[in-house]
Amino acid sequence: MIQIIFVILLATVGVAYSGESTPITAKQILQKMVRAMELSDYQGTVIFLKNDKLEAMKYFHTSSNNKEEERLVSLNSPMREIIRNSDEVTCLFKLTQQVIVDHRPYEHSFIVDVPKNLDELDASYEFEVVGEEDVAMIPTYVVAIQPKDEFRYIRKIWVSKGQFLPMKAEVYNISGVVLEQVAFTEIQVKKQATATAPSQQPIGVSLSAQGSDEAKNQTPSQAGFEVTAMPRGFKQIFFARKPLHKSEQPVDHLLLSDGFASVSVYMETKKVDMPSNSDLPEVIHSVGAVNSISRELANSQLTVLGEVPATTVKFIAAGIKLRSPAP
Amino acid sequence: MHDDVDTQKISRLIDADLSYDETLALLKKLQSDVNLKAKMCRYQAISQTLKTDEYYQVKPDFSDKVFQKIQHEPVYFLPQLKPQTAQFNGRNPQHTKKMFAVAASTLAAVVLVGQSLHDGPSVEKYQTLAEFKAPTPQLPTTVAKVEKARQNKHQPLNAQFNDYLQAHNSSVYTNGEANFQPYATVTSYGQR
Repeated sequence: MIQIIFVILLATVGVAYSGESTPITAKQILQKMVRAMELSDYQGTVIFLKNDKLEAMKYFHTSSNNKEEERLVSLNSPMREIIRNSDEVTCLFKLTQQVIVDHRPYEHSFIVDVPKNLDELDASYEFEVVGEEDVAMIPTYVVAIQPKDEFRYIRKIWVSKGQFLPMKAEVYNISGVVLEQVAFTEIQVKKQATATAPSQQPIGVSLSAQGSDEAKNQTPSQAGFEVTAMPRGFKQIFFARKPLHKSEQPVDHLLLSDGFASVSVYMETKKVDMPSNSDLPEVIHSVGAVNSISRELANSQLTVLGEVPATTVKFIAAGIKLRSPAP
Repeated sequence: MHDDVDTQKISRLIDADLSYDETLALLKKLQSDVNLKAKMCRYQAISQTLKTDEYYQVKPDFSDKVFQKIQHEPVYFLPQLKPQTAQFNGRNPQHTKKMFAVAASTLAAVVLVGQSLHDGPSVEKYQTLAEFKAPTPQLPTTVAKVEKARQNKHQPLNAQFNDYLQAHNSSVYTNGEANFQPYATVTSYGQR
């Protein structure tokens, strides 16, 4: 009898122990992070390292009534303030008082954009907790996001253990060289996300077009070209036809994304002063993590650009064809 | 016809736009074609003057010394930091670097030879490697115009790239080089 009781006790303790010690998975951490980013009020100092240039900024995030606002204030010249309010990003240059307003329904954070539904990315990425480190004196989980092919970069995100906020994120090339980094040097959490918070409209990088009426009225089928080949997991998420340069000439802009990596395809009518194809060979241009390729397509100039390896822009550009006019 | 092709190739070589095979072929041709060498010399002088407003004279044995150094240069098998950018048309990066060094030294040699062929100032009158303002090249103006036009074409390309980058995502605002002057979607000026 005593033996039976001992066995039952042992089994109970074993079950309880195993329940407590089940390690949190990388996906769970990232899902908690997405939620915490939506619902928490926090601020701090952030450094951005891109193209070997370091930029330090004050960062503020507030959330109320299912609306988020992000604000970045530069600490060094050129002095500027960048505000994200829902789909709109505004940049104010303080010296010149110049204001730039961009409509960006497909972005949701200056720090790190992580899709809400990570299961959609299983074909393209593997998620793994690769360690625990301190960032800005705060303990974090280190989550590695490893691509399954050569069409995207490797990423790591350091997520704070207490509040599940992103403390640091890095992008690496295939050789493991850091291409970009963003990190908090100090952070204060004013309002923490609660488990009972009401469910919100998904706001991670959604793989469907969303945004203003103007953006909704424009669909990828209106583009003058079609993308016939994309790396696995990439989808068309946004299309706009609008002037981009000094002139009023419209430019077709199609944005593709796999959830983490994004690629823009631009097509505009070739101007007289643009170099001819012989002057502009099909070459890859690289600036930090961004690679781009340009080529002529009939009477148009096509440019594929994104924070992806050169292979990816080359692959996508090769599969772009002019759309046949509707009968 | 052949002259036009060679002229284009020289121009592209100076702009570092020529492929590996074409560069090799052109360098071989330069060794045997005096006229082509002279043309290369003129283009190089124009390009340098337009880009920097200065002209540097190098010592006559400069290219020989570079050549000798390259011959004795060991091959290091260190890991490449950015192999995908170091690749040039799929060739060995070490080989490519050597090839560019050879091309650079050959260019310098061609400049020297070309200068000596012309009735310009004597070598003694040149300053070596310092603050020497180039004389206005006595060349057909059309050649200079072509070079200038090529340079001007690159300006809109850079502006265009910036526009594309800005439209792509907001990272341009957090870039340390944020002194760009975007053209698109500027909504207001001089707010109070």
